[in-house]
Amino acid sequence: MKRLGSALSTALVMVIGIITFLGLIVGNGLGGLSNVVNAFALPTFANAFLRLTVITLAITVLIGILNLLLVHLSRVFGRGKPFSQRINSLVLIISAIGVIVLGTLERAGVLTGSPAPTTVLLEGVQLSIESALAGLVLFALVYGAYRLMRRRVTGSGLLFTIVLLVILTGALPFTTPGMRVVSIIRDWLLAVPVSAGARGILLGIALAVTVAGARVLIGQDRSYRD
Amino acid sequence: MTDDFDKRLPPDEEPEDDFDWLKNMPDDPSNPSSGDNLGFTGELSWRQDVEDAFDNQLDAANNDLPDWQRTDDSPQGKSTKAGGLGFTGELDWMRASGQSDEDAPASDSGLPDWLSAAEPKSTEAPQVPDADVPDWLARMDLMQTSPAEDENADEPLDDDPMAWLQQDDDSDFDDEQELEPAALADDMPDWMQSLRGAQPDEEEPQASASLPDTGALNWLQEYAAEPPPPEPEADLEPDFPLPADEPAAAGSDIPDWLSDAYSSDFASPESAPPSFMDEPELEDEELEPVSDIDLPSWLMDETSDALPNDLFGEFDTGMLREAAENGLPASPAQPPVPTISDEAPAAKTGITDWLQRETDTAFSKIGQDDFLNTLPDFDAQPHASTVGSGDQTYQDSEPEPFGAADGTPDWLAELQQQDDLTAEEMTTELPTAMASSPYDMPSDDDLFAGLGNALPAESAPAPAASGEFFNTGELRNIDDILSSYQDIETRVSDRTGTLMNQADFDMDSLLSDAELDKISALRESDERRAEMGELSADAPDWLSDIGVSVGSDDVSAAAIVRKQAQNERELEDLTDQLRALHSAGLELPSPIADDAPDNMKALLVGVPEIISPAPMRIGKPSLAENLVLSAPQREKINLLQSLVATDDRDKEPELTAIDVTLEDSPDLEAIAGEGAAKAAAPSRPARRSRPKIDRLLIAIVLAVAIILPFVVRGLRIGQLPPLSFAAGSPQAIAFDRVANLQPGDRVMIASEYGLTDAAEMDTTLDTLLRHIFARGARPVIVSTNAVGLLHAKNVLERGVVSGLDIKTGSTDSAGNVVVNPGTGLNRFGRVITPNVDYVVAPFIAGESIGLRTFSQDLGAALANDINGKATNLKVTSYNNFALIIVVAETSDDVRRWAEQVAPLTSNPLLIAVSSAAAPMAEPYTVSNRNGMLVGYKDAYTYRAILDAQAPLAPLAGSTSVPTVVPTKPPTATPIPPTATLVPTITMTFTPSLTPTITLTPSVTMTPTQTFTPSPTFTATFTPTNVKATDLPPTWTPTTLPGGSADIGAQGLVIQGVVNVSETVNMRDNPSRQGKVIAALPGRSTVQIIGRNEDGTWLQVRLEDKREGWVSAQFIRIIEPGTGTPSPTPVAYRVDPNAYVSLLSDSSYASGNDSLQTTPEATPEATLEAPIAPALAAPAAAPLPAQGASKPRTPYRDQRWYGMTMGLLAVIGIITLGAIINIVRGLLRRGRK
Repeated sequence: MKRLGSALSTALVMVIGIITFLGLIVGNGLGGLSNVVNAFALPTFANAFLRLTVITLAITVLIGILNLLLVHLSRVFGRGKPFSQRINSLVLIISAIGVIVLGTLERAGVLTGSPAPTTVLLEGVQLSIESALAGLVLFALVYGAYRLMRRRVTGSGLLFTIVLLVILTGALPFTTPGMRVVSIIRDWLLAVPVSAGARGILLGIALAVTVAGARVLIGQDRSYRD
Repeated sequence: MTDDFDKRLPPDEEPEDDFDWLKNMPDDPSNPSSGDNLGFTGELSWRQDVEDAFDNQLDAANNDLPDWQRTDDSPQGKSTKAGGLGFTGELDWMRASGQSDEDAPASDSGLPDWLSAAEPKSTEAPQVPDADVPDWLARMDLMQTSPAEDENADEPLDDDPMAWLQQDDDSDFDDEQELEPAALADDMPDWMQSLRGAQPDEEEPQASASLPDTGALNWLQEYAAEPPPPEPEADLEPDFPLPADEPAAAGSDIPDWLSDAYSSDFASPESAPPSFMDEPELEDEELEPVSDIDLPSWLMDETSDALPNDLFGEFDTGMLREAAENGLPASPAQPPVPTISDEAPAAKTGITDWLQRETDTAFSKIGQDDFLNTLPDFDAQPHASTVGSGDQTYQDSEPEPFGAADGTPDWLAELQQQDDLTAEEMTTELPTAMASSPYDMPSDDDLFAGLGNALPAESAPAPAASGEFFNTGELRNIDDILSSYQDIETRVSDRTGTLMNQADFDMDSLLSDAELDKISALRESDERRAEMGELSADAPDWLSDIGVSVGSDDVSAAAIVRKQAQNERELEDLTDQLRALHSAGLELPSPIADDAPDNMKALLVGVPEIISPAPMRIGKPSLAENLVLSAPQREKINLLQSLVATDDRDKEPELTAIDVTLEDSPDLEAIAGEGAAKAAAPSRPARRSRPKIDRLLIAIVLAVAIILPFVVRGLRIGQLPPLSFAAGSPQAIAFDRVANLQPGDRVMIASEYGLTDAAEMDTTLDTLLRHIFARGARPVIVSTNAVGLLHAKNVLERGVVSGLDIKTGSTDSAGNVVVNPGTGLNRFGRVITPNVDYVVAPFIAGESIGLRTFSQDLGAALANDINGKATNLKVTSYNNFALIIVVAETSDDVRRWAEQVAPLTSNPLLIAVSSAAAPMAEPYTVSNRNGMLVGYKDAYTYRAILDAQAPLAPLAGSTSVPTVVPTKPPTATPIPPTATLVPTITMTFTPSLTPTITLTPSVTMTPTQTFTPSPTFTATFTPTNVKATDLPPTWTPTTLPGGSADIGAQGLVIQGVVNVSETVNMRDNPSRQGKVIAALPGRSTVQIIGRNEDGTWLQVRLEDKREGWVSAQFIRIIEPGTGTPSPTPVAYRVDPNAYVSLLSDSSYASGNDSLQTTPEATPEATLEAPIAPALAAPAAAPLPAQGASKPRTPYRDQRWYGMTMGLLAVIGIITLGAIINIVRGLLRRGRK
């Protein structure tokens, strides 16, 4: 039975994948192939599958929120949980429910005023906290770079440090001749090696996506069963 | 497995005690179930079977073949054997089972449960064995049963009485059959089992069904000349279950000899448990009983003169002769008999060789001086006698049970005592008998030599001399014998080995002499006897000592353990240490979890109730110290660990389940009060956490460096970002894309950044939205980031729109809206309305896939806004959007839009990303179609350009707005309208335009189209500063307001940019026939001073003051600005034709010192100073110049300076760290 289920799921994925693939990739300019694809309304099916996927993904967001609430509810009312955990979970639950209620009331027109309460929460609380946390990353990065070669001085570490310093120095808004040279080097680094590397990575991503898709279509990759 | 054993017998036939199988021995030899009790006969029963076979042969008067050859003719399931003849071994248990042969498969009838459990369970009827054939011999035969045999079941299978020999020695025994010895392990004598086990390469026994009746030794020679018929592999392949766990399960009751064997070999994957523990569930092929006794044919050929009487005891050798004469002569036409071995052809191999080899090999395995001395004399007299308690009477021709002997197993001792012939005598007489055979009986030397040759060299150590073997008269403990098997039976699975190795079952202590003595003492008590029944003296001591039953149903390891559990002593009888162990065991988790593998449950049936199997663990048994190590031992281990310092010592060991369990286990020594306190484990001193000074200093330095520029002007170092983009740069392209938007165009803005990047990206989004609104376009905001969408909505509505929108709070008595100074009207000329002037679309779920789906039906996706209200957008594709802008924080967002959306539109894709995402997003801006803005720096520049531009005129068709008056009443000291107010609201073109026009007759300025200083401007003037094509065709210097003839004097400069990369010719007149007077570089900027009548040529002025005409198609007019900032605030009456003021952003007004409230404005002033579009605004919108104007964004410059200082601090810190670390590294290397 297990093997049958595996075969069925694989067959289903392959069929739907091929239909979607043909429906999306075959346009109207391929003559007979286009006629065949259109005759079977494959583009319509492909779009329908995509919409189903999007709906599923949207539902997963909802499920994730519900699951989060359930987990924290269990932590609040569960046995043997430390007090700090209960408090944290309680605050989270109250915040979530509060925002949901406020948003609903705003949408219903019960709560009016400017700015809206949800806007205040978003811009006044969440935005400030997230921005502050993002700012703290600077300290961690700088400290990490400071200790980069603490244990061992390596060639790669030295190269990394030099490039990092050149990039940072080149970004300084100074117009002295020396800084201009550094700025030119920085621009060259960003334009040539970095851009080349970035494009290489993008190409690699594209190839990997293509290969992964092909493997799924031919049933060689069954990662969806994990 | 053991449960199956128990189910074999009906409840009413269950033995009353452990030794019922002894009591139920058949009395009547003719009746297998009559209870011929022979006791625990051990491994040598096969010899009695030989005698039985000869008995049957003699009884078969009208048959040439002996019984064991005729067995297959009898119905299956019935034994033709007339009962036990004495030393029958396990067959007695078959009789004791009480089952009729008809009721049960032949192979099961009478078998002890431990043996029947290994019987085949299939419905295929096995070949009926002679009841007295030893099972190990039967299985030996069955191992080579072929389908042909099954198909010809009616035919005698044992045409060749040497088939059994053939099986052993002559067949193609491939490697797949190497498990065969395990199948024979149950009832085969252990010494033979050891032989089998040591011969993995032994040749496969061959079927004997097709073999003709032979008897003379010449068949051996013939057999050697012709290979045996091949057999299908399917029938030869054993199918053994995994016996790996069973030894572990029985671990607690394993006797010393077994634990000793395991102690050294269990860790090895090749090690094997003793045969009784390794009881496999044999399949049909292995367990199919032999059809008859596989007696060597040479015995059939023996005459009375040749057969040694002393070899077969009371057997009349005459029957052998008779049998030989009647049915066992050699036949030349018979199929060849397999040779014993390749090395020893049959012609040269006699039975004595075979026996010699077998025995020599066996002795070499098990110890020459141990086992053979325990063998009964072959010439033992099977006369009727009574032994033991006298309950069991042994009939003639049956061997008698043996009494106990000192130091030897009882049964073996008795066997020895009752033998008439010593082993030595047997070996000495055997050759004589053989030599007298007229059938060329091989000598004993040949016989044993042949046997030796039949064994693989690696598994057959140097055979000991038979004489030495038989001369050894001392019987040793069976433990010694069995413990010698450890070299042979060392196959134990990894799991079992690991388990046995790591679990600290103190088997020795459990089974120590003291403990066993206690058990024996209890057993001997009346109560114990009543419980256990009479213990036969035949049982080996070690079985007796542990008080287990070896009855018909309990011989397996699990059964032993179970019996042991049943015979548990009371806790009070245990020592303190054992009690502690018992209490600790009660706290262990369930022996077998519900989710344990089925094979685990199957193999450990019954055992888990007794032994809690420790969880499997791979690795060193580090927990040994927790359980059994004494304090001195622990100290020694600690010492060794300290000497052998490894990194592992510093690591916190990862606890397994058993670790956790045993960590909480009680201290047995403490409970028992016997041991000393645990040796204190070397505890590492708690590491003091040093405050990380360097980290603190770095944080402080960074914070100070970033904050100080906000308050300390002296630290505002470095240059501000440029106020314009370099021509042709991605940033300039991006700006141009937005600047070229037409009123009413729709622009899709994808706000793909969250709150973490809001500080950086908000400025970009805000600036773009302002520019879009300024152009009269309508943004449509979408996002695949839910939070980003909400934030973008807030930026739009609370920042941009509110700043641009009309303040509607107050009106004057005339109904005019009073506008605070510093605010203005939007270009729509009215309140900016959602879903009219802008749209915030719903969240797009599903990222790439969602975006793909979103693209499929834009109309439906944008039908409603984020609040569910109708947007009234009429879009069908991305081409309905004049521009698509992606404001993203990561390159993935850019890639998503570039992949899913960009191919679907022919309009440009503008990208605005954070500085971190720029390198990865840059490839998507390779085309000049796509502009790119990066981070705060470009946003700063972009905003500076916007701020420098003049306000734009309201859109045509805009709804009228009320007249706006100053909100504040005149103060007590009103400032009369100054002269400066008038010029700022009048437009004056430079006089230079006039001569130029006069030079070009084509330009005809008609008086009707001239500007007048009239305070009522018409809307026809407004678009002139938008595009070159929109320039009014009737600009005349004479109509300039204010009477100024120089536009430059009015501060108005109209500039244009060469919008191609190539050079453009500047001619002396507005036609292609004009003389080229200059070549304008691509992207160069020129000042526009005029145009021809149809607007196809623009008159430009270069920086060197040269003037000429350039085709308008190559010039993009930059919206005008002024070079003369006016400190005077603006207060004016606004009419529908007023320009929108980008400077009226209330959100930035607080920091704008230059736009103070102007209550001084008077109504008269407003009346007299009508708004002059493109002239009034520039007066209040100074051209941003470095240091020339104050920033309009609060802390905009401070942020930049803070970033610069922070960057300096970062560079310094990293450089310092690198230098310190490099120096430290060099010093470290120098010290080394």
